[in-house]
Amino acid sequence: MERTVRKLLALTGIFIGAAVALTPLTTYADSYGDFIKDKTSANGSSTVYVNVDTVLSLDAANGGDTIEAFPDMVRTGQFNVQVRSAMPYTISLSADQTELADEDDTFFIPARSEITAGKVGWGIRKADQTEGYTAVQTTPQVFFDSTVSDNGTNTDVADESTWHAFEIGVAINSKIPQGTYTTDVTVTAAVKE
Amino acid sequence: MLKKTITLLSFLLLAMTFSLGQISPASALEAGDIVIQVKPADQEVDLAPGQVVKSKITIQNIGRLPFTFTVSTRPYQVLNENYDPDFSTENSYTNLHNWISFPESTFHLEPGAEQDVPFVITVPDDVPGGGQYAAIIAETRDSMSEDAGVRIISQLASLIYAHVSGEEHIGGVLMGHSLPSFLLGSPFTATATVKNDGNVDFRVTHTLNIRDFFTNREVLTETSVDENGKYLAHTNPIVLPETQRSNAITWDGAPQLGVFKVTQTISFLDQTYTYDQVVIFCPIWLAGAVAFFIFLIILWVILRLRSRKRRRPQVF
Repeated sequence: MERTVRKLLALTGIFIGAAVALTPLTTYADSYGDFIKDKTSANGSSTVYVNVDTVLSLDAANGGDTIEAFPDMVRTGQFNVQVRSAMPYTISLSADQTELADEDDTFFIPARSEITAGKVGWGIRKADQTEGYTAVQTTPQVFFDSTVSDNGTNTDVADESTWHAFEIGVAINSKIPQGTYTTDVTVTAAVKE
Repeated sequence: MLKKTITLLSFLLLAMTFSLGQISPASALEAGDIVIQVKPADQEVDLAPGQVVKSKITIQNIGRLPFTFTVSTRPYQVLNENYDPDFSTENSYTNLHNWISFPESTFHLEPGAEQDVPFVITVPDDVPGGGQYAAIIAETRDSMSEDAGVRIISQLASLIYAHVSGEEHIGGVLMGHSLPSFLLGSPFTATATVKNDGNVDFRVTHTLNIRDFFTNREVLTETSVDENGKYLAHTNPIVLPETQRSNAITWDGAPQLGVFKVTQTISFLDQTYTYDQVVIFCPIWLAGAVAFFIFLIILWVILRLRSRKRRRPQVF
């Protein structure tokens, strides 16, 4: 027994030693150059000043396709939004009419956070939401925050500009008449100082 | 025969031209078609009671298709410590949106063109001093794809931080901070929460300085930037009146194993707080292996003591 423990002890020691030796002990973050903010220049040399204003752009026209809905099934689609900003930003969604309505405004699919087969409703999934959906409201709600959510590029750069895909979930039942159900969703982008 | 063919072809050509002309730009929109840009994304304005101030924002069309946009104003506040924007709630700090007027509010922009949108802030005579906050919303409905189930209206908010001269109350409190000491693979994040007790906004400077524990070499400082010029360990968030804001700095690319000395500095108004902490990074599997190793040492010592006891000659 003692011999077995001694062998295990030696093996574990070797394993830990090898692991410590092979694991990077320091970061390479210090290889980033220091940002030089001093604008003074030597006599006789000219200095170039470039004024960069805070800019925010939005491309939300890639609205996705029509979702084919079937009774007692949860169907999904998506729409894409691109925001470009050097500063952190948020993307908020809202809708004056939160229900999806048919052409005659007679039948509606209400906005819900719980989208399950057989229960009529639709919702949009937030960027960091893994389960369920969020019901769109008449006042803007944040669906993406570049300071807290992964930007989707797996780079861990929170405020890097990129495309954001928002998943739409829809469920209907057999009582919902045939037709095309739509609503207008407002996408609001704003910087976060 | 030839005349008939030419007539038919002319008719087809005319029909094609007509139908192409009738295609709405919104019927089959693609990424990059309607792209609206605003500058500046935020601005600070100094105001005085009874004053009339002129300013502007600029809207640019950086997409492939022309669009029409409108401008309007909204109140600007925040919902929580995370500073989720709130463009609906009105309180004593959101009167600014009622003071802003536009000489013109609807514009058309061709691709590559830009449009200055002037606005006038007319400050009433009897307003108290302090901060006032609003958003100018530039909206285009030309981004609504007709064939999409969910049609998108695009809005950009340009924030305005105004300071009205008068009786200003300036005050802030550090509500809390965190600096981890032992990390088993989770990301290193330092936080600071500051409350604004006054009636005007101020900025908080939150920095980290990280040194190697053994060599004292600087690993990350408040001036370190990434390849895009973004500060890695320095933030400067704004705190609005009567709100509380939490701010986090995450050390991206932190090593899996190591010991570091971390200094967190939080400063705002005339207050500065400095916290020092030794931080140990150890992956969970290595911590498990070390715990197992210690357990084996204890077991081995116990077994060794027992066997020695057994070997000792018995004396009667």
